[in-house]
Amino acid sequence: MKKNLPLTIAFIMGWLGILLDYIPHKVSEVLMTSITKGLMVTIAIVAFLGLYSLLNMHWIKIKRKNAGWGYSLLVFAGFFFMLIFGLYNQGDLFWKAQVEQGMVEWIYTYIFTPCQETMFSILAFFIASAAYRTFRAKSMEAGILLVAAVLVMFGVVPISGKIWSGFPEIAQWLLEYPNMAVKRAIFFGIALGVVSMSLRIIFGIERSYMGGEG
Amino acid sequence: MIQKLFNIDRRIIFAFIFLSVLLPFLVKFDLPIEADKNVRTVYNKIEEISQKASGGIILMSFDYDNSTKAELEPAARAILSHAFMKNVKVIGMSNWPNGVTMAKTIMEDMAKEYGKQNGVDWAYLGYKSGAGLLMLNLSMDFHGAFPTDTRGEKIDQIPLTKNIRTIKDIDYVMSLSAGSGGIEEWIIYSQSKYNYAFAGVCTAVSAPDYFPFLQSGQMHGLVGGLAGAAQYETLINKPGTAIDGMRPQSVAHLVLIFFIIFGNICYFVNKKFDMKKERA
Repeated sequence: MKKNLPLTIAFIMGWLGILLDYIPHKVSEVLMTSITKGLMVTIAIVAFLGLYSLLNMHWIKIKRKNAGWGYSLLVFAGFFFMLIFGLYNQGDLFWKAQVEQGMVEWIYTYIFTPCQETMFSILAFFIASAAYRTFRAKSMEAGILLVAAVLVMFGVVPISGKIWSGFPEIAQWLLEYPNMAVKRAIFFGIALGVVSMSLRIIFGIERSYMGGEG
Repeated sequence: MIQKLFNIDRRIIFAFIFLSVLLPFLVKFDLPIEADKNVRTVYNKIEEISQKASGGIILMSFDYDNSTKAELEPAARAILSHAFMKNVKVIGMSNWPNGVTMAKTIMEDMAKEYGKQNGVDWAYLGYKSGAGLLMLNLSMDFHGAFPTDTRGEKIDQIPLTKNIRTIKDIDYVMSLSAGSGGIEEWIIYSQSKYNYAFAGVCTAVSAPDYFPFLQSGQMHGLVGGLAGAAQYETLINKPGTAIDGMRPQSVAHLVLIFFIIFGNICYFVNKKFDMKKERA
């Protein structure tokens, strides 16, 4: 029962998903709408499981005073501050839509946004340093990649057009032909992999999703 | 000497990058910005739907958050400007929970600038979990997927959205995407099934990923990165942060290319020295 029930559900839902997608009938549309709605509710419920898992992990870290446990305290502080202000909703409480320019919006605009933007902007510096150290023409293939990368990097910024009008055209050609051919091949590979993995799950050959039995 | 250059202190590289971004903001110079065909297609489509008697409706899905705001927000503002200028109505939504307040602020700002009324000329529906499933669901049952907007108003009572039953009732759909839960999911779960006009706005680094979708016709336009946004600003003749950003971006790219070439020269000279040493 423990094994057969999930296998049966996967088999029925898998086939249902395939058939509903290919049958252009009103009944199939209605059924698909209900199923997707149900799955969206499931995803929302799963978020609570994720939340429990996250908080539990940080709680254990604090309890055992593991390295960096102070950061885990910040996770709790951030979570509960947002939760309290979100539920309080400037006195309107949580069953009403979030109040404009309330505390949640303030925290988002003046704490969360600058932190996230700063984190991402630092990347430019690390990419430059990494490119200098690692982007080397150590072989013929690496050399071709390097020349293509430099041409695209230069061709996509307007200053290249000011130097020679051919640079943007070369960059565009590289993106539209060699790049697209490779990307398409990768997508086909991924798609075939997804189809075969889905069929393995539907027919019960692939069972690792039930707990790593393989 | 070569060895020293080979192992240059990374703080020197950081300083160069910092200056290459800062100085072009202070010293202004013009750069030629020409829209490529993928950006022009998006522009032309909005022009085309603005000719409709009803004004036309666009669905803009803000599938990014603050981490890529610098790249995607200028494009969002330029497209919204164009739509509002041409009296095209815009519905906004998000597949990324962290982008909700940001997207709402952009829509409110642009609506205010063009004197557009919430619920009549534009609406923002907020975030709902599910990404691909949400896209599939709203394609079949728009009101069921989003029963209310962010103000709590019922969607079937909002003048702009009350007659939208499926995705087919929308003239143009676009995803402003920074990764998973964006362009690719829209194509897989919704566009390929319902075959409507779809465009993407993405970061420069992810733009090459979407070229196969352009060729297949599943995506008919693409505004890629800050450069794409600058091209759009040029088309609508409204210079903004994207055109301003082209100067630092151009100079930073040049500095980066210089370091890559310089690093390779050092590498080859160093290799030659090592070979000589081995022979000796």
